[in-house]
Amino acid sequence: MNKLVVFLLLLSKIAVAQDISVLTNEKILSSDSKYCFPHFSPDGNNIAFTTPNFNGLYIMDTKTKKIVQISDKPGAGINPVFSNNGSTIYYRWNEYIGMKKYSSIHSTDLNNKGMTILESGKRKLSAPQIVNNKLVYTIDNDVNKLQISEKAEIGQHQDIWTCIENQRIVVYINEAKKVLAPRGEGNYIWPQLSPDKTKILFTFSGHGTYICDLDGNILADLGYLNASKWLNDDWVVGMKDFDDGHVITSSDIFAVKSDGQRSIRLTQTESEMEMYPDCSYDNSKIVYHTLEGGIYLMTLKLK
Amino acid sequence: MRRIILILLAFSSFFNLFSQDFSDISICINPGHGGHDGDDRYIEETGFWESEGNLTKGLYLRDILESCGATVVMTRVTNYTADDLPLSQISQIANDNNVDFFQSIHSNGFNGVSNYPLTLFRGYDNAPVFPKAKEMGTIIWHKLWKNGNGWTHTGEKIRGDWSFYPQWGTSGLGVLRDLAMPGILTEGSFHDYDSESWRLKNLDYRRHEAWVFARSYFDYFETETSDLGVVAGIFRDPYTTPAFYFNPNTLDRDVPVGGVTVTLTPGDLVYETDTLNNGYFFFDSIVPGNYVLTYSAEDFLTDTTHISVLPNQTSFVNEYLQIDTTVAPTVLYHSPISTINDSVALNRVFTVYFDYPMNEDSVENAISISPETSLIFSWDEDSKILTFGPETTYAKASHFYITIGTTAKHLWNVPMSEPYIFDFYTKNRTQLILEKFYPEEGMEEVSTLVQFRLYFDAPLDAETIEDNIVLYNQSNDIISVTRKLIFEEGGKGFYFFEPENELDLNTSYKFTVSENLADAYGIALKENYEINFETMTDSYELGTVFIDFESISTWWDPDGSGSTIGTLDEFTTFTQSSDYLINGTFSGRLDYAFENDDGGVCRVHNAGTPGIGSDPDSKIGFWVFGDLSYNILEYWFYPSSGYSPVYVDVIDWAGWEFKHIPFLDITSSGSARFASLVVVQTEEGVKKGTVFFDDGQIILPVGIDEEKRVETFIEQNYPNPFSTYTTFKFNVPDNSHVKLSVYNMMGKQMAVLVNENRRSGSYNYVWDGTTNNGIKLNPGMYIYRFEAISLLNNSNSHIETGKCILMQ
Repeated sequence: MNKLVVFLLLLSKIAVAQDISVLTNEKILSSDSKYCFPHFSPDGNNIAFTTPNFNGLYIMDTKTKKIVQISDKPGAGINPVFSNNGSTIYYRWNEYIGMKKYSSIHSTDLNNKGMTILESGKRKLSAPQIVNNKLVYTIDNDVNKLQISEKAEIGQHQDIWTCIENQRIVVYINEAKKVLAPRGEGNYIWPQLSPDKTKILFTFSGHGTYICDLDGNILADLGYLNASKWLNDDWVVGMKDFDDGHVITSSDIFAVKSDGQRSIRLTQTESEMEMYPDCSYDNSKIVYHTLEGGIYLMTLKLK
Repeated sequence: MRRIILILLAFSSFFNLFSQDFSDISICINPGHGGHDGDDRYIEETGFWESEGNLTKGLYLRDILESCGATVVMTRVTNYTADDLPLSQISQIANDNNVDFFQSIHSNGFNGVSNYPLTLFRGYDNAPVFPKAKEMGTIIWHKLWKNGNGWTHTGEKIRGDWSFYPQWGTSGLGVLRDLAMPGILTEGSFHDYDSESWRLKNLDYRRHEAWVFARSYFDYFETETSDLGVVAGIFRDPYTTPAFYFNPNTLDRDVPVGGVTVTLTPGDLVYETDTLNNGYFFFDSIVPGNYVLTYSAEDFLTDTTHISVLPNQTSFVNEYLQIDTTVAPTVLYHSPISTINDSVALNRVFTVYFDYPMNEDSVENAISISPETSLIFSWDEDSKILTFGPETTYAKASHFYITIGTTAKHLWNVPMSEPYIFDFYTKNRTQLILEKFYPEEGMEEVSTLVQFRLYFDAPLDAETIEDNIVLYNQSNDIISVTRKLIFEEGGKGFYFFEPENELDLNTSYKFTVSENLADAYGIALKENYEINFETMTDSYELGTVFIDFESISTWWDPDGSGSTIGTLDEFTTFTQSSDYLINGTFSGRLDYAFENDDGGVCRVHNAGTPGIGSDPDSKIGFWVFGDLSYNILEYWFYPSSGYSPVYVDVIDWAGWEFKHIPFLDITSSGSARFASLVVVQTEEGVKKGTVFFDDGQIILPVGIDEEKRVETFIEQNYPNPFSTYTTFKFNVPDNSHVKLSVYNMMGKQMAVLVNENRRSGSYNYVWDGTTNNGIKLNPGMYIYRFEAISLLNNSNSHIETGKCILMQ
């Protein structure tokens, strides 16, 4: 759809704030086709996404608007990750054999579309993450690491990453594993390591979203915020969705300062329910989907 | 609200006998809702909270599955407000823990008369997002059906949420929409069906549902099944009908018996049924074999049943308790009790309650009354409750004696051992009483389409009405009246009528009721009444009709509309009628009857959900023929998200009035659709009534100059041909849904340029010749198609096509 026109027509209410303001908000994928769960590539030029039935993985070039299907596998579009140079995408997909869930990890070279099978038909296979040019994931809570680039990063870097195991937050620091329950017994979800790798953003279901250090000490209470992601080390972005117990009734995207002291509403529309934001690596953009299946690209100005 | 429920689930070590191996399997269980607030549902009659039922079932299921070695992730294990999780968090708990399957446990609520299991999976009925979810939904549904009680409807209810809730599109149930694995939502039964609600009060009944789920998982994951069985069932009294609602075509027609001592031998396991109107018993984890079930209860004979217990199954024992038919029947009590200071009306009906089903003829023949009076009898379907009253009236100011003699027998022909005698006094009634009338004296702003209503304490002598009830204009000329309704109900008399022609605006009128008006017993009013009133000053502000009731195919009956509660289904209907009209041939007629004194809701839903636009200055209204019921009228709408019930008025009028509400009461912005007409019962309101509806209208702000209204059209794109950009200009006179598409010459849709609601006005759309995916179309000729459908009137659509040429 024509960018010039749609850009103006679909521009959300601009959030003017001292710290973050919305410069543009463009619908880049129509809700007619229904797409969801967009993720940025490291350079922000590509956006990976899937469909409401979770079949397949697609990538859109934000400049040309050209869409390429990477995989038609079920679940492939849920939490894919790009290599640091953006040339390869890694994704987990699922199949059900004897009603049990078996997962595989594939990668696709975005230049030549060559696909590589990294894991095949494994039980309890976690979604992969990229840590220091390594692909990390667990199989039945055992860590696997695959070196995905010969080019080592400059300086000493610890392999730090986090995920959920048995309803708790787990932090892996090199080979060491810490199990965290910063708010006690309950369900921990949406853990994410801060860009500087010193803090963990997480939601304690039914209570709120928090930031803790790598030892599980609570640093900030961000209040009600779901599916939150780090925008940079000072701000996180998430959705405030509400429902009536049956359906989602409203949802908007908010930016919240990592000390929990400021909250800025980034979307405010009556007709759309904005959900599941993802932040570009340079923290200048947010991409999200709406309940109806449209995908929007928002550009921000940070003070 | 904060509410705690801690449910201690004690399970025996029988689980050790299980041979299932779930050690590699993980399941997420979501007990739906939570915390007794917000979206939780409570059944006042039984004290049942859905959140508690869901949690108990979930905890039982967790314990069974964990005993089989499964990893179970619970989304909640308590029932605090904080446990009522956002739907997005629930699905994320399943996703982050990478489970094999997800189940959200619920019970259903609808209209109070339905009871059946329902399983929902994400997707369309025949196109599930996860086919395995539909497979499991099918397994569970059939096991629920086989193991359930008192189902009121037949037919599989295994549905995709996109098909089941078409109004939500592919958004679907929030708890399923973001799941990354197969998942289902189970509605095990209906908690607002009284008989089922009482059963759900029994913890072991919930535990049995957990067993049904567990067996479904055994099937689904193809593990070995349980080595043990369950014995369960319900004891009922075949001669007593429940005092709460039941479906007469089910076993629920007979009342369950509490306090039954049930013994299972060998093993001498004992269970006592509770007193919560369910008669339910349950023996868990029973080694397969042959058993004897012995059951006894006060007032019933002790009995036994032989049963076989099979592994992984429930052996049901639904038995009727037998009474001792050799015992003489007695009268338990009669009603009302009358004293000399509490005399009864001359047509008073009495009720007598027996402890046994009676031989009706023997009882009627055994009844005598002094002074002698002809009586009329009627019985309940159990032949245990006798109702009688005078064929005409009792003598006034008299002392009566009723005797039920010892020739009265029960069904097994054993007579009463002693006569039952009671007395009562009749009122010294000297005059007919006018209890209520409408319009009231001095009333202003009365509708010109008023219906006059007079309520008397006794049925009227119709012959005396015409001369004694007269309507006058302000010149004291008699006004002809029509549609006279004279009827009796509950021993009272009623007279309704309307003026033959619509009354004038802003005019005084009066009607008189004269002393010679008499009741059916010849007793006169003996007083003269003159009631003065004034009609409304201005005529109603009307608009464009968007619903006319000439067809009601999109309207649902109240019992199928959802949210209807506390109504008597057999007296609650929505039909077309030509009895009272504003325009056309038909109006909509809502007959309703509430079961209790308060809290009832009668909703008539329009599945067409017509658009009513988005103009914040508009108003939405209906012609409503009020029934003077003092219940509340509401209009319900769907704004852009959620729904919006809007209070309209207390129904304190009779006849036609136009009742409108401002659009801003629906939503502060955006468009909206009309959904439902609703009558909400009040404490002051009558329990039974009839309301008519006609010509729903949208009233746009005054001042719109019709001549300036733009017509719907699209101009030829400019420039044309084009190579980089071209502009489409189009107009819509009403708020409309606009779709502008581009097709190639083969008729294939290449791009959708606009597909959304637009306010009335003119628009420019600039197109660069690309598809929705940003791909530049090949040079050539294309067809553009413009379609605008008015949101005010769906039938008002405009379609226009043209050709455009894309150059290199």
